[in-house]
Amino acid sequence: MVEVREAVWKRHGGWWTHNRRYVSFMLREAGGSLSALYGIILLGLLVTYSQGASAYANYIAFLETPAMLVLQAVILFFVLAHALTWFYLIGKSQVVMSAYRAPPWTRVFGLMIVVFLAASVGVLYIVFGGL
Amino acid sequence: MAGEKSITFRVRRYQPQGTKGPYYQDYNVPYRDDEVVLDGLNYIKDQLDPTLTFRWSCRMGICGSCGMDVNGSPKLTCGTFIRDAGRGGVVQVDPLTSFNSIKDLVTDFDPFMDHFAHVKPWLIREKEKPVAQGEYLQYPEDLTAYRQQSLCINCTLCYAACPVFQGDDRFVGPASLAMALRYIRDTRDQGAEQRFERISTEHGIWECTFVGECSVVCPKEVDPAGAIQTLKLMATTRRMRKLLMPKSAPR
Ligand code: SF4
Ligand code: FES
Repeated sequence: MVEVREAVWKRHGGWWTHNRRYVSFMLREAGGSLSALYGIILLGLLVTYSQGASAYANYIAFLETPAMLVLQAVILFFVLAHALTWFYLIGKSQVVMSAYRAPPWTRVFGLMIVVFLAASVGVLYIVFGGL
Repeated sequence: MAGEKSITFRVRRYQPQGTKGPYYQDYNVPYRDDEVVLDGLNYIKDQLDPTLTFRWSCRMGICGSCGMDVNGSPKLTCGTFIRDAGRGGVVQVDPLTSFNSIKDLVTDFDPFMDHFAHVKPWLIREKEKPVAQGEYLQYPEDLTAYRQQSLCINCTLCYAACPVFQGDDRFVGPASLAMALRYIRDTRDQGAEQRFERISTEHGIWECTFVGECSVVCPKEVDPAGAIQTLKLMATTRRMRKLLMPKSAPR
């Protein structure tokens, strides 16, 4: 049998910068990691809360430093990008089929946004003393 | 192919018997607005350079053999107009990404065929009924359930678009997984259990990170990304049912 020499053909590094959908994928992946980081920041609240009032107040003051505010704004941006690109994909590649006919992606996307906003309002209501 | 306008085709060349690696070669190609990239390649082969090698057959989006990267995106070249593809006066044509080139634009499909066979793309019956008893009948809605996935023409554009497959060629991949769903959804098939054993794995459906580009490039609207997410949901439901109701029916 003759051995065939083949040329390997892969995209170069930075492949994702040439296509906005790949960029949105990378944003989504980064948003996933950053939301895990934000989870750790929130856990810090619980840990310091268990250590007493002054530890908790110090931690809150630390979260309010300019660097931490910038970090949280960056995380918020990526988490929003994560959520929106997911909603877009769910609308485009629909798992939920009603009677074998998928609804238009815009409707699924819109529904996701409504659920997202409703959940956010609910959380804000609880956090800011509504209950 | 005499036309008013002309454009540069920048084609990635590779000769396995040659001493140098892959390189780009430019050709000046006249074209009309109704001509596609495959027409341009055929012009080069017929008029300029008979050594250029590429696959094609039907010229109508049916055989799935003319897939190439056109300006970096996987496309059926018989369905891509030169007028739309010419970016800055150049149409760059490469072999489909992630597949090795055997010669010029001809890629080695074997890795795809291995993955495809892995999902058992045929009807599996526990017991075949005798031919004399006739065919297995289906209602129109039974066909509707898997028709979308059955439209696949094995062009492998979805593999070329998939960064997961590019990073790890053990990933079973979009078209093969969509084909698994096609048979699992077929009311005549009884092989769902066997297929899930093969695809509900690290390199099967769970390796997909839902980039979604496979569904964007698919020329037949098979929506392999949707198929894979559906399979994830089905695999999870089956697993939970086995855990909670071990005696329930397998399907
Ligand atoms: S799923 Fe679509 S892109 Fe992938 S091989 Fe089939 S027809 Fe081609
Ligand atoms: S030549 Fe058959 S699909 Fe393009």
